[in-house]
Amino acid sequence: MSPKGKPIRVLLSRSQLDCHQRGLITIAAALRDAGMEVVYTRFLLPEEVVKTAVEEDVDVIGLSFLAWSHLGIVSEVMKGLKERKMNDVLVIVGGIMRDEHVPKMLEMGVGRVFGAGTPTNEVVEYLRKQKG
Amino acid sequence: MFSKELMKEVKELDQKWLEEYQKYYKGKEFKKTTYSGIPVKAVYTPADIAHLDYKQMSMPGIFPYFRGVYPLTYQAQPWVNQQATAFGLPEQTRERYSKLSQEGLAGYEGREPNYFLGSDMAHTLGYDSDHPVARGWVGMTGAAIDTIQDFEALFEGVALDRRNVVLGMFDTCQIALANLIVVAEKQGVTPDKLHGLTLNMFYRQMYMEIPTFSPRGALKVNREFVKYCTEHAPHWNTINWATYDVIECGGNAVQEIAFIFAALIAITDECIKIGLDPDRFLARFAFHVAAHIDFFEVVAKMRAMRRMWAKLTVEKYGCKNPRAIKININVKTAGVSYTRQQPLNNLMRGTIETLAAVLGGATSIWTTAYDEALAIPTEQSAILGLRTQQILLYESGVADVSDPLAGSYYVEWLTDKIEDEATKMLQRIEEMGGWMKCMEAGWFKREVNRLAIEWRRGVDSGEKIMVGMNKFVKEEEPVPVFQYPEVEQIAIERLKKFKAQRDTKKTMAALVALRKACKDVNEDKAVGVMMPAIIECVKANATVGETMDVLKEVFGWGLID
Repeated sequence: MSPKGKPIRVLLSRSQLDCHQRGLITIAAALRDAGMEVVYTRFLLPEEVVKTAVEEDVDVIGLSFLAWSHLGIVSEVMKGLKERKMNDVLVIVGGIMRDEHVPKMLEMGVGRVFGAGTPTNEVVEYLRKQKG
Repeated sequence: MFSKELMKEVKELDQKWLEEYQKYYKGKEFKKTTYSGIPVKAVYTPADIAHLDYKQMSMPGIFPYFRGVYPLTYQAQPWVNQQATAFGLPEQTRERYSKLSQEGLAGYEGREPNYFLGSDMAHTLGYDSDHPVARGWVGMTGAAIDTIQDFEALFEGVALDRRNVVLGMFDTCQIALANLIVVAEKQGVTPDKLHGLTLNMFYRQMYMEIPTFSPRGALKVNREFVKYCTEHAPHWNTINWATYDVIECGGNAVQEIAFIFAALIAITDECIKIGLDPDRFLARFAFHVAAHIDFFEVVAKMRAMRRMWAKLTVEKYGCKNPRAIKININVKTAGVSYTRQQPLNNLMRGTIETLAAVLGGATSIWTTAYDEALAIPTEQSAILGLRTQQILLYESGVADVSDPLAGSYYVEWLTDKIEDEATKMLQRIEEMGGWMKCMEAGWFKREVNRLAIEWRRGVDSGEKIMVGMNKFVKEEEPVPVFQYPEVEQIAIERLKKFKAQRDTKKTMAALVALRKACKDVNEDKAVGVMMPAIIECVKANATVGETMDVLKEVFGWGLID
């Protein structure tokens, strides 16, 4: 439960260009098993993520990347959130990326980066701690 | 297959074994299943394959080609090293490939090494480098290929009459082949001299969440493509049935076979509808399967696929041309079995999987580089993938005898079992209305996703072990990871210049003519007009994205949920 007394709402999203759905599909199942509400979308442009986050009034945005487009897209999503004054939305990132890209994303304001193969309960625990 | 006397002895020995078993393990059971969830016994005997008919198993090179499509497997023609690399600008891809070729990459007998290239994710979906959607994707996991000039750069110095080309362009593969045809023409090479294949996966929304042509539109695009190639480029493999991604997305070996057979039946029926001869066009289909980590299952499924294909082509489509009845199986070792953690362990996984592909009788093999759970391969890891294959071929002796696992009680039983299960699943798909209905209903995807979630739960609970990931975990030194060159601005500049220099009126006219041709195809008013119209677009300097926009508009495009 979030402080609003409602289940934690999570937007999980992935670029339509990235055919690697498996990570988000399994994370979505794990978050739902943990009682969270999951909105799952695929975007073409980063601004669509921000728009959906506003419309769906989510607490968390989870983005997954396996094809190396993460730095640009994450930076645009963070910028979009700031412009909409949605600073309280927690952004997490998962997938395949260079180790040195992780601090760059944290600097942009990402809460945490989960690499491929992370046990799903680590994500659940993290979200409960941050938003529960 | 065995005499009554022998079966009696088998029974007696079985009994003795059971007694020994009880002595040691006191009734304890050891339950095991294959990767695909097929329960397996602790040991197999002639009793498990007594029902098999030796004639059905046959010999390599003899119908039903179960043991191999040629009389010899690798003794006369070793498997082809089908390693792929593509990134950045076209010339960067060409240079990397040329380096790999110098390391001994082997092609088909008497031909130069294969040239396996691909576009980046944006370009495979028809977004040019300057499209807003392509921002951040240009040259990542594939090359940025927008124009005929880019194709010319890819094939500069490449003798197209002597090299097999693999076009890993997915939905834009028809446009890619049109570009290849135009480049070849400039070299004086006619389409009938072209060899190679298109990674043509119009069906991939079955299991993958990626936009593609609508199922109905895809069948029409591809019947046009198959028609053109059958008549003008008869050595071109039109559809490479990638069962590989069924495994990557979470599915199993039984689904791999059943799903893909459902899709290939759909396109075969469509091609026959427009008057194409299955004896000719089926000769240019091939499989692209995953060698995942379950060693025996990989061997068994490859053998089962060859037999199922032979039966299908003869029994359902009345084929007589041996080339149509024999199916080549191209194999890639399963990326999904690799781990980000302790990436060097992936060298061992790749070796086991490559060995399975060899023993299953693969025509070509792509050994996934050990660092592909991190990025596309570095030069060093790409070479190690090739070396894995070379060591198996030249040092291990495993390639010296054809179908060496034949007659193994377990392998023969498992082969039969997989064929049985896949046949049952295929029947179920047909009962549910066939490929199109199941596709539109999202059935395939749900089935695969369900297994992906199950697998994840198994790994999280520790029931499924991934060495280095959920067991024997250890902090370690990172390995070198490929660094992509920054090419987006260069690609955009090139495209701008290309567009400024062309005769735009001519380009637009060619695109208008293409739209008309596609509409006629879509409304069943014409056949055989789409590919010539695409080739005209290439000659009129239309980009891949512009050409693809027309196809998307006419044949429908998007995600199926």
